[in-house]
Amino acid sequence: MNFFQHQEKARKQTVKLVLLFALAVFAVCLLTATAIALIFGHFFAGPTTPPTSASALVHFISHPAFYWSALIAFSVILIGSAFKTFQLGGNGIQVALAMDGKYVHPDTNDANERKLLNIVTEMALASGNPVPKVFKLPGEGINAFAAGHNRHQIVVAVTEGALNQLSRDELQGVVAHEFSHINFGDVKINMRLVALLHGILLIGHIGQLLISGAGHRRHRHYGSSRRDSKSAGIGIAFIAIGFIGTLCGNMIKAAISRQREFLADAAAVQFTRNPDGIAGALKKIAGESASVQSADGRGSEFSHFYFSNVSGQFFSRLFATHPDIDERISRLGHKLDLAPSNQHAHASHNQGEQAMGFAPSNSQSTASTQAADALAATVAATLASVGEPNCEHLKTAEQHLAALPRVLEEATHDAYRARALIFAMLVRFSADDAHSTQFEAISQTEDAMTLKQTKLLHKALASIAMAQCYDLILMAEAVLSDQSPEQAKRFATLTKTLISADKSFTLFEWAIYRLAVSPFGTQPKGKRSLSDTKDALNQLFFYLASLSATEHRQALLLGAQQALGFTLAKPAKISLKQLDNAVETLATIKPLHKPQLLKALMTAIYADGQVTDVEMTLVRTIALLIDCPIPPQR
Amino acid sequence: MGTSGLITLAVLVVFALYVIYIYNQLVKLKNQFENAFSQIEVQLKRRYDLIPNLVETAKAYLKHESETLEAVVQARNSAAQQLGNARENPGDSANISALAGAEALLGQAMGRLNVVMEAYPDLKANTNMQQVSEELSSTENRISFARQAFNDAVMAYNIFRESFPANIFSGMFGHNQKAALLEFEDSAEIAKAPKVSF
Repeated sequence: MNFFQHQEKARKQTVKLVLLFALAVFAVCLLTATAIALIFGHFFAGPTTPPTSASALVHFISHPAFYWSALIAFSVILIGSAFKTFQLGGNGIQVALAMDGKYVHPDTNDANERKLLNIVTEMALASGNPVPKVFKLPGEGINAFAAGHNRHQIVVAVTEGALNQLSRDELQGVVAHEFSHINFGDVKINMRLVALLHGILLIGHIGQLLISGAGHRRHRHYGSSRRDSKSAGIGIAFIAIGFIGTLCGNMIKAAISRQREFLADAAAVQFTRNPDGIAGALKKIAGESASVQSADGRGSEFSHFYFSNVSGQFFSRLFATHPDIDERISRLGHKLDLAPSNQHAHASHNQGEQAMGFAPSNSQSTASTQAADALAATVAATLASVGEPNCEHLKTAEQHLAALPRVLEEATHDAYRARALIFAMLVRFSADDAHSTQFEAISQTEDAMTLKQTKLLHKALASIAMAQCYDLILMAEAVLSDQSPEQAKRFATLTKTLISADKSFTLFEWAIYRLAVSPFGTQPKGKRSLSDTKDALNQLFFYLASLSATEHRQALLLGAQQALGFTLAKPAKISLKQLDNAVETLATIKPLHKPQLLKALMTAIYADGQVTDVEMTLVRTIALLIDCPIPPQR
Repeated sequence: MGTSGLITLAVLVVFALYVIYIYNQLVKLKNQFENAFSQIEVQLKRRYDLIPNLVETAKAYLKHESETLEAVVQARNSAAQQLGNARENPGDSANISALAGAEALLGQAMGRLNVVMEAYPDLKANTNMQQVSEELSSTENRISFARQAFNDAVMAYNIFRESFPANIFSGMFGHNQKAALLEFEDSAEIAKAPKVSF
């Protein structure tokens, strides 16, 4: 199964998840109503037995006590889920803070924290994702999670125990596992799970409150009243129902997340080509005493986020959100015996064939030239690497990072310098005669130090390729979000001024603006098919054609048409503004249609027989915006 | 009680959702400024790490100015201590104003040191000294940027906390203290202390 198929499956799973939860909620409401109706019946109308005949059942259901308690139970679940949804707000940071996470600042001096940050940065760049924020969780257990609603808001959190006890390889394995979840889009489902489950959990909590409340009152005036014992009775019923609800929820959660854990382990091995790392981490977790593992009660709510099980006391095998550790280790061992390198080659070959299979069958290239073969191979390799980076990409990312001048790398550590870095990039990719206007604009709104830093960074950027600038943008994204809304507004205004200083709006300037200044808000759902988005496709490819040399335009459009399988028509107006809208539309196409689009893009940039740094960067930007991160190419 | 009961229930649910929204908004805004404080913290710490370097370098030249240097070291130590207190609870206005006070004293001590150093051209020409002061002024700019973000976040929190429907509940939800802005009294002086030229 490749990335696109997995994304499609994840999308379908979300639907399945919602349906299953609706069922669970329905069951819980029904149970609550029955329990309350029975208890009320017991206290007010003498002992009643549960209905046995059909007419008695109708009578039972139409009793106000029954339907009112069903409605109220439903309201409680709704309120509980809404509470969590508001609280998390799609933002990974809120999840990390809800678990007492401490932000790990990129400027930290702590050796262990540095190690973690380096690993996260390498992995993010190797998979073509924005570098996420990193949090440290309290607790000596070894665990980690990734959370966030879209690729631009993701947070990776690791426990202190993991930082202290794991070697670099093991920590890398753990982080790679989390990145597999990020790559496959699992974290999105997890955010939804937390919110939905909370409503059901709330019923159990209310039960607990009722019991402790009744206990309290009874303590004060001795001699139990009917009311107290009744509320305690309802409390017990609520707890039982809440327990059943949680159990349902956990079964659904387990069914959905357990398979994905194996997959993430496997992907992590492919990523690091080092099964020992992740296996070592799992062995250390297996060796931990149970008491260390979940001291924090809040863990259970977020259990499926984690790297390993948090709350595994009851029914640990059946309802565990994560598979048994021994099984995970042995599967990794199995992988080891299968020689991962061969396996991988085989996998990417398969995907290559698949990718080529998307070409329309009536293609006239029966006499395929060598160039076409080379193109097909590159396209296939690129498509296979989307969302599924391997150790080659990791090596490339490490090399890119090592080659970055220190001053540029450090500029991505905080919002103040990251702003200057973005300004410097905009200056670097503008016409020379606009530079003085641009520096003037900076000095007018910003302090002297920002201008000085921009000039310094501009010098450092002179020898930097666009691919590396792209990496730097990915690294700076997270810290730029630390700006307050006022600061962000000022930043956006100034970037616009800098972009328009040379009277031309280039595609790369648009990329900088879209990634660093104002990323698309929510993650699109992905329901449209490719043929529904013809207008957007026309805009995209005709824009690309307008950038290339006149003699290659025809080839570019023909190649794109062939890959897409239908004819492109010239749109009435071609502009970056239109292109921006087009890309936003294209982000909503079905995952299984995306490879075709990416293939068309790759074919289009190959039209002149070569792929430049600039072209590749643009394709990577568009791919990231449509949720298909492409790893760096060598 | 059919319809009217249903309407009552619906109103209650909507009301509950609204209260939940207020509660979560309060928590979120508080988290936001606390998180913003951690950005200042890192930069302040960096500043406190750089100052002993600067003092060490200056010592060799300023043999007769040990008092000035001593004052800088002391002010630095107390500011570092106040930072430790403030990070425990950035929402506590006493902690924040204590940090602001300590920072102001440190700023004054640094200002005096700068005045003294004007008289020692050799010291100013020292490469190590130039590096440290460059690093220091860059850090100070970062501090003031992060401080602005923190203050914006604090303002957003305070405004929401005191706005009409929220103010009924904010006390109930434990948000009964107004968060303090981190204002450095003589931030102008700090800003100009290490001279920047280009």
